[in-house]
Amino acid sequence: MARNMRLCNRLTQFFRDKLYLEVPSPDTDLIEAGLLDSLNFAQLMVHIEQEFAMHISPEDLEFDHFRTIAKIAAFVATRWLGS
Amino acid sequence: MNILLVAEESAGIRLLRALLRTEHRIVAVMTSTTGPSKTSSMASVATRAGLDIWPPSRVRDPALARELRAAGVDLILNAHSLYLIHEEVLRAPSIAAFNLHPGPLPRYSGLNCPSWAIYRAERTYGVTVHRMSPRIDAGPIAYQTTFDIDEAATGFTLTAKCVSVGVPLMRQLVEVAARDPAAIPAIEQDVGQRKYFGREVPRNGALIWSESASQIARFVRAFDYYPFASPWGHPQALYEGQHIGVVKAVQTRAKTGTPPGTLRRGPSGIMEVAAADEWLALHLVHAGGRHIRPDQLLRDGTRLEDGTKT
Repeated sequence: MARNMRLCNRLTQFFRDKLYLEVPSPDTDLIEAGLLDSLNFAQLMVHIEQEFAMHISPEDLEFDHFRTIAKIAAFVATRWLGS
Repeated sequence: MNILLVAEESAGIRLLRALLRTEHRIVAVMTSTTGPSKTSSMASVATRAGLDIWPPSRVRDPALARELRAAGVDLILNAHSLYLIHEEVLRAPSIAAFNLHPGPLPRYSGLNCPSWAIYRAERTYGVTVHRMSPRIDAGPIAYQTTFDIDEAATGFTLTAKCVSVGVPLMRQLVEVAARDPAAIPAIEQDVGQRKYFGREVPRNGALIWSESASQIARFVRAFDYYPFASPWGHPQALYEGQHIGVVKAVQTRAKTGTPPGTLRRGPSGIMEVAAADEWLALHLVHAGGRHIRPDQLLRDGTRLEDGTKT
């Protein structure tokens, strides 16, 4: 739980520092909130691959995995940390 | 100033965000509200900003001109919208209508220009802000920036580059328009250099395995908007009588004299196809309506045939 929270904080920081977007909470629907357009999505994929040294395969590219910061953190935790 | 924004996609969203940070009033946003979107839509961003949304098809209606004059619209800003704006509407704003075009005018006008530039092996590319005239992408140029094309650029990444370079040009236009509209540059386009690209797709998307690996890889990259839908669809090949799309293919630099189209499992375990001169690694294909790993479909020792051009 604490680990996922740390991941959420890192991802929120990425949105703020690199995409210049404030995400109100880890459960905010990024697509509904207009925060995840196609270019931001592509930048997010590159960031996750570089930041966490992981490869996102085509099978992983389910947009539902990336709808909220909490879901992205859970995805990264599963793939990167194996938990 | 009062601004009417006619825009779609990420370019529109980013332009809208930039405008929301200025003191100018956005009279309305003309954008599509139908159709599912995998990512945030222009309409959702405009709605959350409390802006009026008008149907983009209304730009074809000359009656819109009177409404714009009544609303005191000074600028129409158009970004990545595919509707042709009626001449009367173009004349309605007190300053002018401007378009953000993802290509270096006049050499790349029309549709899907980033993909055409990759297909045509351009080394440099550009983005243009121009006054809108009744003829598509033909009005005088206000601002233009050129840049190098990355060797690994795809249709998607080059379009993204155009957005990231182009939105600041639109911001610059708005700043100058607010200060002194007469200071906006208006450089007539050299019609002799004009090249217009329509809805056609090169070779109807047919892959030809007897081409060099670099030609094939470039062809595939021109079509590549993954994970989003490509305006050209997927480049096509035939496998055991079925059409398949090649989504990602990368040069290996490993030479081959094997007949073009032959498949093998490469040294790294990735499926490879023989081009005229070297093996090409296949990273992603599209078959049966979904994206799949090539090794889930293609077998070592079998062959891919050329796509059909008709």
